[in-house]
Amino acid sequence: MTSKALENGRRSKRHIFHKAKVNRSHAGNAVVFTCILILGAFMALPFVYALGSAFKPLNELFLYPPRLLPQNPTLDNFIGLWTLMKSSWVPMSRYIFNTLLITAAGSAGQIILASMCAFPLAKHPFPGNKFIFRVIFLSLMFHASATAIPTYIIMAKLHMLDTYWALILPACASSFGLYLMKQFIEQINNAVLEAAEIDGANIWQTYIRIVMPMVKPAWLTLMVFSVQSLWNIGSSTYIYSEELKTFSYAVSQVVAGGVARTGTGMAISVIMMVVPITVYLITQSSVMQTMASSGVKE
Amino acid sequence: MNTNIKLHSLQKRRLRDGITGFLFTLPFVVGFILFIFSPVVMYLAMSFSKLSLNDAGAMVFENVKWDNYINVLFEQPDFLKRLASSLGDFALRCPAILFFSLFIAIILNQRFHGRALVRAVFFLPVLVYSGAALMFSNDALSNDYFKLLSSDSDETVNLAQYVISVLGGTEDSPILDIVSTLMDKIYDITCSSGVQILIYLAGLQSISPQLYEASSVEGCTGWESFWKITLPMISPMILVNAVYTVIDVLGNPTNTIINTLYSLAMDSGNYGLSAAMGLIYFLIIFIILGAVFFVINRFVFYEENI
Repeated sequence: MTSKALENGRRSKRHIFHKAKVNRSHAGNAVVFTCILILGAFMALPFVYALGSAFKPLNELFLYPPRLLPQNPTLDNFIGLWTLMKSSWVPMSRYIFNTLLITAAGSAGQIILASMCAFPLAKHPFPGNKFIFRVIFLSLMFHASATAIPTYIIMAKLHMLDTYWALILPACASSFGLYLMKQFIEQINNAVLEAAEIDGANIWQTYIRIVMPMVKPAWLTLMVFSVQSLWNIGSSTYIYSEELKTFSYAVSQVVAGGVARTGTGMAISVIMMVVPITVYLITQSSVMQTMASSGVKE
Repeated sequence: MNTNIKLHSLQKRRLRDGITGFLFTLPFVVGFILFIFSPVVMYLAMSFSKLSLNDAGAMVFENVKWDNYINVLFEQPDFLKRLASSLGDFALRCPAILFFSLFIAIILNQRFHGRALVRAVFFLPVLVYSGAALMFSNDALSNDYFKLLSSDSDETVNLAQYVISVLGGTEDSPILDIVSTLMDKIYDITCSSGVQILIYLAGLQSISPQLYEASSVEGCTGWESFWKITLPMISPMILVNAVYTVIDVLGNPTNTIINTLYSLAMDSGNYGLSAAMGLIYFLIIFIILGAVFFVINRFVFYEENI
């Protein structure tokens, strides 16, 4: 009897607490979301400005104070860009193909190599695996632009200068990508891997069927990073034939035309941003339903 | 006899797994040795030598021992000053970015309408800043990318000034100064948090919903489940983000030291000096990275430790 009363008391107390909590968090949520909204508006402002400017006629581009949105929207900037591109020496489609190839191959290579290396480092120790990881981790501190000259010399020795490989292969060996993947794979419950092993899966099968699906948020995130950086590769010291240069390089040449190209430049910046943003939106929507059904019952 | 055979096959399996594991790491390790490790070794060699071109146009290394290092430390008064300011800036920004991005990521991880859009908005600075904006890069070193996007116009339009001018305020009130510096700082931190937010979000997505279910069945409040579930489960990502923030803030192309390194090598052709300066700087980054790793790793919760 007494224990029942006590139980009831506890329950009602908990109930009250629960209710109070919910109410408070509602008020808190409102404040927090207002903050987010304001911050988000500031984040979006430059993008909206670029988007708006891409559709501005020439006389509105240099107004001061600048206007966010065009009053008389026009497609002149895009049409101008189209004419400029048609007159280029190497067809624009070639630049686009180059960029697409480098982005796709580089991102795929980075994800596959990093996750393949991270899996045994995190879950299948072999002699020397700690040493390998430490050396890779230490290399994080060296900035790529600082070691550009030695890299150039090595590429020359490997006969990779002026080929696609010069841009694709270095992208595949990303220390940070490896570190990110290792940290995520380490989070996987060992029981899941043991279960797979007991069911007769070898390392390769475990990697494809268990590990990769479970760390999908990680490699999708890595994909966003690598697509983002590879898509924007502009002029590179390793490439000098015009036919192998990237889209980003080609459009930066257009912008370099000066003040008169401001409108065209805006149109370009919008086009350049569209691809990474699309990749980002697609990956983020598929990150959502990853973890829902995985786990162990003990 | 029977157990003996079993033991034997187990050992065999261990060995095979070890070899397969090693083979898995091989492609990355080869790439790493070629494109990261050997350039660094050559960089080290460069720092001890004076590089010049001979008549045939080939590079000649001349060993000068510690000369470059002595030069950097004692004959470049700007270097130490710049180093101090860059590290001071780092000490303020790094923790701010880490806390801010965790805060935003936790909010963005909740369910609400238009979540995908808001998430995209917070990643925009990364896309815009490092990509298209740099094409107008006469001025890429400036943080104010609003200015970058309005590219060629001579007026440097500050975001705060812009907003206030839209709202109909005057341009040179003292309040404007305070508001504009404050906003600049917040803006700067938000802009540098894009990658971190994304990594935290991926981490939050990887937490099994069963944990939250179980805790809510047990009567856990949101506050408790944050401290007992979210934080421990996300702690490895805090470490990743700390590491990323260190290398991003200190190794960013807009960093003054990185700038000096680059211009020394590319514009003045003083490769040896640049390499020596770089190595001193990277050694400092290494110490910071080591300290950050050591401190945070003690608080990181790994699943296998249960």
